[in-house]
Amino acid sequence: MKKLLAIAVLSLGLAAAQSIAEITRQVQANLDRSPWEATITGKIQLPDGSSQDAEFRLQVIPGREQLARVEFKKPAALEGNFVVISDKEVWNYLFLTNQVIIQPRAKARVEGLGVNLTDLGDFDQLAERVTLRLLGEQNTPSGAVWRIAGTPKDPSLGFASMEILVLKSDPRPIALTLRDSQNRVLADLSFQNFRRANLTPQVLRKRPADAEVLRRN
Amino acid sequence: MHTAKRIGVLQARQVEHPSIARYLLRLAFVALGLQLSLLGLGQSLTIGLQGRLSPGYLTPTLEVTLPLGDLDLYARLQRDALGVGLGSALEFSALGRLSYRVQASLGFAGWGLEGRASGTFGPVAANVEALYSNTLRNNLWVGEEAEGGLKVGLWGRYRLDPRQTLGLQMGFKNDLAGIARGAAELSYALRQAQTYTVGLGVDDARLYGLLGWRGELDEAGTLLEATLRAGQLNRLEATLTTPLDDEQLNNLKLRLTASYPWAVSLGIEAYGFRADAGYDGGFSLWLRYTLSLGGNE
Repeated sequence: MKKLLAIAVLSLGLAAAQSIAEITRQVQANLDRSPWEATITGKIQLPDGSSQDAEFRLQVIPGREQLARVEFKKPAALEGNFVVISDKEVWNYLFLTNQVIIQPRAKARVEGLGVNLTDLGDFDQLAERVTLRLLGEQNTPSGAVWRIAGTPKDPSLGFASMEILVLKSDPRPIALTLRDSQNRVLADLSFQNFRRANLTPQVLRKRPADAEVLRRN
Repeated sequence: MHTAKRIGVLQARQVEHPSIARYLLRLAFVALGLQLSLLGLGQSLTIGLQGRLSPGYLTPTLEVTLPLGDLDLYARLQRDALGVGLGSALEFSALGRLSYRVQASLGFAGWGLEGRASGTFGPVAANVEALYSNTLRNNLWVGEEAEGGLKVGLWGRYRLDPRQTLGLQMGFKNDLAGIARGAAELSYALRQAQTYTVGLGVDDARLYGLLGWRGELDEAGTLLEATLRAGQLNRLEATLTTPLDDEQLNNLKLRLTASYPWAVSLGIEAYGFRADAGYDGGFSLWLRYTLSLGGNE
């Protein structure tokens, strides 16, 4: 009996593992199909319990030479700043000083502490950094979704757990919640206005022509 | 690097009433991640030739930038003078950066020291500098002003909201003859499709008004910035930048500065070449070529 139970548990575990791997594969394939953009909006929770609106525009060109651009809309202090991430380089544009700081990707450590927004466009990378498991399914106004939980493999990532909702009909993330070790919500973000777009590297690398370029090694 | 990040997280969590700066730090943690890095500038070598009429003067110029660990080393050499410097920076991704640079120059004419620090964080940017030399600074480096003694400056910008920015500049000089002068300028910039700037300033008891315009002229991204200071001090500065390729890796830059009493300088820059011609009672010409030697270029 014990043996049977063990086999059953093991099989269940294997099935779940296969299933999350399959979802990851589907999301990756869907997001890799063509260039796309989305607006990410939501709230960022502060340690004192107050929250602040955040809004970013994420543009991604998938493929062998993946390119992503994150443009800050809110908070107001960062409006106009953007980050462009390619395989080789990270560009940081600072509006206030009209500077582009270009660093090699390996040194710029884009992943940093939180979740790197561009990971949400590159599920394979996310799965490398975070242990994902399927919690179940639920219905949302956008349609049926998979609920996926994640635990960072590197404890220094700055959050203790994450939850992602992935749309079943068009496999892509539509919401993300990050929590700290006391289960406080650090970020509650949703993906809106997702659309396939005719993006080119020139569009994503667009910057003011007179910006001061600082190359760092 | 990881240790620095962990310390950052701990600090952010321990604060009961987080300031805007700490909040912004927190935001970065969650949204994009902190890119804390103490890195060096790319290696580069700039060779040039500068000549001047009345009094006649001709010198080769050499500028070198070399990353050494977390520091950037600079060296510059011309006839009769040598300068060495070092600097570094702390990058906070889209949130901002902190950088500093110190430099010392020594020549047959005398010596000079200078220090600069700049910081940008969220809605605030500031730059402070202090220079001292016991000779005219253009004796130590041809690109410097024909001034000596002490010079202290502060430059700051503050974003009121995404469209409006306040600017402040303050300066103090005490030249080699012991004559002290002060300057201050306050400006307000409104960004719509273009950016309009108005301001008021005083420079050594000369009052002036400031008008500025900055905007793109075409789809390709050609950009013009023009600033006019007029009143008891008169100066026009204009820069036109036009991309030479789709990736915007190369730009053509044209610079014009004209002031009254008459002094004019013209500059042109493209593909690493740079030429600056000037008149300030005497003509000068400086030709330079920059080679990028390392990094990821």
